Amino acid sequence: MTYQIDPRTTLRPTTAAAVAALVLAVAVSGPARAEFPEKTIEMTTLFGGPAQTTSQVLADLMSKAIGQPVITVSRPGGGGAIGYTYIHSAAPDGYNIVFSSNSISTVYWQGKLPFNYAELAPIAQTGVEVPVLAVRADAGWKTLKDLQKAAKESGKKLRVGVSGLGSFTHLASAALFDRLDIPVVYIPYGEGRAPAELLGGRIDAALQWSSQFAPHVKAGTIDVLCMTSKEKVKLAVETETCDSQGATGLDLTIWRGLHAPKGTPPEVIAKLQDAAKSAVASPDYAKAADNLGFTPLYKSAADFGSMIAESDKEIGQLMTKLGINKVSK
Amino acid sequence: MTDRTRDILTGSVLLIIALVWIGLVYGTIPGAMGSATSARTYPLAAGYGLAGLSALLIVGAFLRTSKGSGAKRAGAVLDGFEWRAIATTFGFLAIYILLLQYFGFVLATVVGIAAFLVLVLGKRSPVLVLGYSLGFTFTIWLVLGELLAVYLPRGELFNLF
Amino acid sequence: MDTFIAALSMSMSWSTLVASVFGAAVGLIFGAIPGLTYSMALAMVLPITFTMSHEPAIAMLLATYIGGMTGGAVSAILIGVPGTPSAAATVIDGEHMAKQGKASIAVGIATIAGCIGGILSLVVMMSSVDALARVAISFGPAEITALVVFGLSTICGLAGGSLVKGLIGGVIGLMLMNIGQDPIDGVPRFTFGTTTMLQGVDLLVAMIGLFAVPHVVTVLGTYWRGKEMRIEAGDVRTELPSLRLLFAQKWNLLRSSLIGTVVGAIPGTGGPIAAFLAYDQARRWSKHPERFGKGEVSGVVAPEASNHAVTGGAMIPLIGLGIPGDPATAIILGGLLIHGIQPGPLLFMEKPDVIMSIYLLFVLAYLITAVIQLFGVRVFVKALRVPPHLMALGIMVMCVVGSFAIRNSLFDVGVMCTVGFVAYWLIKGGIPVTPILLGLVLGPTLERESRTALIMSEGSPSIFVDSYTGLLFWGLAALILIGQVITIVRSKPAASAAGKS
Repeated sequence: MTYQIDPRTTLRPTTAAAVAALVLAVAVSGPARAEFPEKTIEMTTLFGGPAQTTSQVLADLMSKAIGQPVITVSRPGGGGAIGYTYIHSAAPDGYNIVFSSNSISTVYWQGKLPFNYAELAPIAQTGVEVPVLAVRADAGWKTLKDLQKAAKESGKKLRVGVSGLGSFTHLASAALFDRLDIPVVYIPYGEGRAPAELLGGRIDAALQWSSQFAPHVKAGTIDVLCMTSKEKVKLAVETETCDSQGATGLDLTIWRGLHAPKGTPPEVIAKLQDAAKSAVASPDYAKAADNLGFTPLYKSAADFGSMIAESDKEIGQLMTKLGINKVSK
Repeated sequence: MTDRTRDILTGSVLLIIALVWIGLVYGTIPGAMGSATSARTYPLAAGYGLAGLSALLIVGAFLRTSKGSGAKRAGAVLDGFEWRAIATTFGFLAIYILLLQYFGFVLATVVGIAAFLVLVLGKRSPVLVLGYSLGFTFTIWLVLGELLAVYLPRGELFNLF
Repeated sequence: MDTFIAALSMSMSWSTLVASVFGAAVGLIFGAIPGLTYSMALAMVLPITFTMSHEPAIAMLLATYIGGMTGGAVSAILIGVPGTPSAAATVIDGEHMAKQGKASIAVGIATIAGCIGGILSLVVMMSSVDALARVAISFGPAEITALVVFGLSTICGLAGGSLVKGLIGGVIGLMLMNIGQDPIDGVPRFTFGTTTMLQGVDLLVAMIGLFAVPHVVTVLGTYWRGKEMRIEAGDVRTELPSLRLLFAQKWNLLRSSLIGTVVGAIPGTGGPIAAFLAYDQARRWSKHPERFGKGEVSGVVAPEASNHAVTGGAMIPLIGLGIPGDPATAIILGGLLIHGIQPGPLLFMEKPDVIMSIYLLFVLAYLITAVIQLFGVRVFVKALRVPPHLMALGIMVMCVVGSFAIRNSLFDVGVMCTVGFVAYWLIKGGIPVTPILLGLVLGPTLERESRTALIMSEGSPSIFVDSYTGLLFWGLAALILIGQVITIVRSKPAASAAGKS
């Protein structure tokens, strides 16, 4: 039997019923301050699809490391805004954490979130995802330069598929094609549909996760031109960095990690961080990463925090450039 | 109420809703210059569509009387019993949501079901009241909450289990 | 043949059997409860499969998916609330069959129709996965727009008495789904500046409110009026449909399964549209179209065969190209990937035994689901002996739990009640429910696809008629609309003549 006191509610004038229940609760269970964690930890996930599967793998492995079940609870909507808002207002006791990503920056700069990353406490980074640029094999573009040349000669706008307008893949594409100086029209698809649209010949290129393209690259129907990170990483598809292919200076990746409500005690954060660390280091995680198409990367709470601060600034500037920054700084 | 009055009433209410909706669209959803469609396109089209269709409904109802075939009684009955049903259904749902928010699934459901049986349906049999409220709640809690790991509402103030 | 035997020995073991039974049971429970869907069941089952070997893992995922599809018909028939959006069309005739004391026949034939539809879709898939995958990817946003408009044209057949009221229903459904973030730019609509409202109206939440809440009010009103429509315990027979009844449905089964397979194969469409199209076609081809909507068996067979065929159809782009068409197949894809199985053209060449065992496990899942469901009919139908007013209370609680569980949000429960309130008054005002649901289901797809198409063509509407596929569906939709208008014009003089006499 557990009880939970939400500071927001107890500060309000409480009704008679609430007071009665509170008294009952205290009388029944009594405040026993045991060591964290003494009950199930809830990991809020913001999206479906591969991100949800990744979070389930992580939660599974963290359960083993921390000695209490870690379960994923899906709170989707608003491009992640709903889940972040939930965690922002949850009790800072370590039992509420969120599987976060740089969507926290995109939704904030889109003006959909009244607070930014600084209002949540970082726990640890757990991975990084590097989008790749893919084209149809029969287009005959083997390198980024080929694409650039063909696009400029045709004089038509290049049709590029992204996950959604204002999404991270949109920003990364914009940064890439800006450097190549190619006029582009962005077609928003839900995640996962880009390969079909590419194969169907309705778009010229797509910026998505490498695992989506892997079977088609092997089958010889799709070519992957480059990855958007500065450093070359191991992906489901072998390719060069865009940086080395002419889009000099491009370095955009998605971080994934864990956050807790601000005010969560440091020793609790430390425990969660250690659990995340051992989960990320486990061979099971590496295998899942290989199969699902992300790269395991652990960063401690402090390093994670400073990395996000930098990434957030960059995303804000990118969005200003695209004219979709609703907060502006 | 006849078929005809019902249609006129429905049409008028919907027409007002459509006009308010269109006003809200213009007031709160920005249109995009230079592109074929924007976030505004569909809500606006729906608003005008509803306005047009409800106007058509009203006109149709007026035309029907002139032909003398509108005197048929509509099936909708709104007697005291119906009002009582409306009040208790939505009253129960509202109170149940509040209970869920503060006291979590188990407590809210046991109390909610028992209260509805006794206060609304007038059941006095302790077997029915206790059996239903405790049995139903326990079954859902066990099968959905524990076995299938469906997330049940947790109370902000107090939680049983 | 060697591949087949290898696959058979791999996929037919105790562990796959247990996994299938577990998956089917979980799927059935999730499917039968409005608000809990197979997507949720799959997400819940997925972590369990992490530590399993390939075959039981695939078996469990497929059985959960299929069980979830089948379970949706149970609540559609017994309480008139679809368990999943795909079962929405099943309500129309299924509920009437239950009221006539034929609930067990309805559930039985829905199960068998579903099983046949699913297996037929698999046969289609096995014989032409390559060609169908090609057809599937030829559907872009413009073609899907045309398909959705064709789907919406079924409103004509579902509107009952008045086309205007049917269209009003459809528009209101679309308006409800406009609340929240717009699907293209993410612009907030009708959120009044709040973050909570960004969640918008979820389809499942709206569906529960639309069907369940007015039902509860009506039941309570009838109870107090003292003339409770109670089905006598003796009337609730647990009788399964006869072979003759089934045989009479052969063309309907075949037609509905084909519709389901094709629609299921197109990414971005799915079960509800397939079910409604099949229902509408069944009515058009029937010798007794006037019996539809009053408890006609064909009206249960068509949507159930069709929405189950969607499961096989959805496997076509998934297995053939590695492209998931909806959230449910995206989770199955995740499960396959975790086990190092990368679906796509190469899988057919490199690991034909895996493909074969997926096919076998698919059939196994269908058979197990059907068996469990047919045994379950006895239990389900007993629920009808509970007096309706007591049942109504349980339905309210389940709807609250269901609408909460979709996104773990109390906001959704509030939306469910609000939609229920609106729906109640619309029904009282004579607006039919089914077109509202079609608006809910198809409205967002229509908006997303048509706007994506226009972004693609840089604003030129000619993209919608650029392909033959698009033209075909526009033509079909126009045909249905014109047909309906002709019917109305012809029946007008007759009606006014009747009024005078």
